[in-house]
Amino acid sequence: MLSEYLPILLLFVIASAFAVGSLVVSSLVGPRAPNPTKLAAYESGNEPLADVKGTRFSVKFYMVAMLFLIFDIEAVFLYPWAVVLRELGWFGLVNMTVFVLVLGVAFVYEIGRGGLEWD
Amino acid sequence: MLATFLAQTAATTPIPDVAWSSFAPELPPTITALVLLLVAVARRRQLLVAVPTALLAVAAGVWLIASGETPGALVVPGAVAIVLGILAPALVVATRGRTSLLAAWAAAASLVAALVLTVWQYLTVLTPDGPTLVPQLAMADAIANDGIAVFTRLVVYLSALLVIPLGYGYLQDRRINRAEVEPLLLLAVVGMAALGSANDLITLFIALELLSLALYVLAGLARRDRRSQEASLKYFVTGSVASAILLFGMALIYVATGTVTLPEIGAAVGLVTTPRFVAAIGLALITVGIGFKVALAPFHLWTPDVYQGAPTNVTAFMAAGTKAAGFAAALRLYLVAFPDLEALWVPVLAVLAALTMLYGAFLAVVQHDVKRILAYSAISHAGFATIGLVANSDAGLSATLWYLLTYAVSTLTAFGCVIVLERRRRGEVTLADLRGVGRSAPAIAGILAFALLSLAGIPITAGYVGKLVVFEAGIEAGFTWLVLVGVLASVVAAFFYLRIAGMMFLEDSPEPVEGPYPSFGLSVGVTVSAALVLYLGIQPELLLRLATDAGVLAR
Repeated sequence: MLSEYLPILLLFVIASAFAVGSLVVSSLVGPRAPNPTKLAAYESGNEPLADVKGTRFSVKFYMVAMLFLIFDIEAVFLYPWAVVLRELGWFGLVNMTVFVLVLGVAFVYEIGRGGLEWD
Repeated sequence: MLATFLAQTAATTPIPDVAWSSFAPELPPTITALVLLLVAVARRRQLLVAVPTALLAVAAGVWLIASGETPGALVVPGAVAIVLGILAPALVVATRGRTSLLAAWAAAASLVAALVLTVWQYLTVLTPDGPTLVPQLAMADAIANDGIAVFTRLVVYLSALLVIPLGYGYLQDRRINRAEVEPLLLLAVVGMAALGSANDLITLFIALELLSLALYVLAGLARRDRRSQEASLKYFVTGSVASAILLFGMALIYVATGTVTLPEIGAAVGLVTTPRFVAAIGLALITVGIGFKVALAPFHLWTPDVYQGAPTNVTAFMAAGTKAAGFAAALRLYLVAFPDLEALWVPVLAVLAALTMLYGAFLAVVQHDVKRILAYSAISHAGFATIGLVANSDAGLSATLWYLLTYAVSTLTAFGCVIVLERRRRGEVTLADLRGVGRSAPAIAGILAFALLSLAGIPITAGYVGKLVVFEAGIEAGFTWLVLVGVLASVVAAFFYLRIAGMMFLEDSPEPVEGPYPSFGLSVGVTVSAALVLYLGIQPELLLRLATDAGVLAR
């Protein structure tokens, strides 16, 4: 039974080997010419404004994160569903319709309550 | 293109025969919750939501009536859908933009519909010929339709229906009557009902999360009140940890048995090939998780703070509904999935029950806040209900279900009276505040005293019959020591219940309190629940027979 999962294990191993390997190889082989600008912390092209630790985030980010989560969950379900839609037939279609409708209510509610207004 | 696809699918794969009747009672509250969320954001355009809903509901109702295999088979659900559909725009017009009033009426209507559908389900689907109940499995064995499921539905829908009038005026007084209250309440009650009929671990977990998530939010409804914030956060953190532990236990059970369906787990646990050690650890973790949810000692520590901090109507609903649903799930879990491990869980639960009864009773004696006393009494009552579970018999099963019904109506009455008193004082009620209430408000003091007598288990109240059947089941199963502990705990508990009654009637108040009279909804809610306590105490036969029927498990 476990042998069915071997491809996933292989994928894990290859992915981690590639990540670690390319870092190691570039640090061994790559040329090194540091200067102050290169060594500066990089944050979207800017100098970091403040230490992240202890910084307070606006609660609005939380709302956006929740909204994203709802979208994300929907996508996560829709992709595999679309692949097997033909086998599922009516049952799958009706099920997904109900699911999307319920999520739609959540969206309408969130927008109606001003979840997308930043100020 | 879509049309060809649909035609193709219709030809190749038949529409599956979903047993709609198995979750028919859950549909009205769920749909109402969704519609109410839309209404909450519709502002002045509420009719734009209500009219399409009405059209859809009426169409569904007509289709239901027309499509029954034998003529008239689905008249009841069809009629319910049509009535609810007509009610939707009528309520919008009648409440004239007062969203919280509309939400309260709509929620109450959907709960009445759920109760009607539960009775219909019991009378036609589950007892097709004669009085014996035929348990059914539906939705690929994920939902069991049997005695526990029907009885739990009755208890939780009834509790929610009583909580709505109790809470309406209270929420208005505290200015926390947001439009989200009723949808959340409805979602919680749907979770509770689903918990009572969950026949596999995944359905069970989802139902538990549905009710917990809604209650976390409801507990923190009074956002400006620090105690309410504390209650919500505490409930959320401990509840999530409990859910995680429960989920881990379920995963281990799946590892050990290779299935998530409860009857199949029950069959697999007895096999020699099943690793009993893994199954036992899974069982222990599940016991911890369930113990958290129904507040068994030593997993009860969140209960007093949460019950005290949450808005009182939410507390009442938590005490009545969550306990009934949690125990229903526990009963099904232990009796269907783990009968072969009874040597492990029966002694453990017996000790937990004894601890819970004593702990709740003794700590309630030293409390001063009335809500906190009732919270400790809730802990103690969880212990009593566990006696029926420990008895591990059909008699024990129906005894626990019956006990939870009596506890639900008694505690709803008691919390309803607390709401009335809080309204009079415009704040929290401590023991000392109760002095002289018997003189200044004899009716409410009398009802509160009656509810407390029921909680203590004095004859002619519902609580007496509840304690009687639980103790009987315990003695039949040979747990005399546990029943003795139970009697001791009830004696201690009677002390603090009677102390509250004594405060109200025997002592004079230092200064008279004049607050608003109870609102109409509050009076109706308290009166009806008190009447239920009396009715179940004097005439228990009808529902007691139903509880005995509930002993028929879908295995």
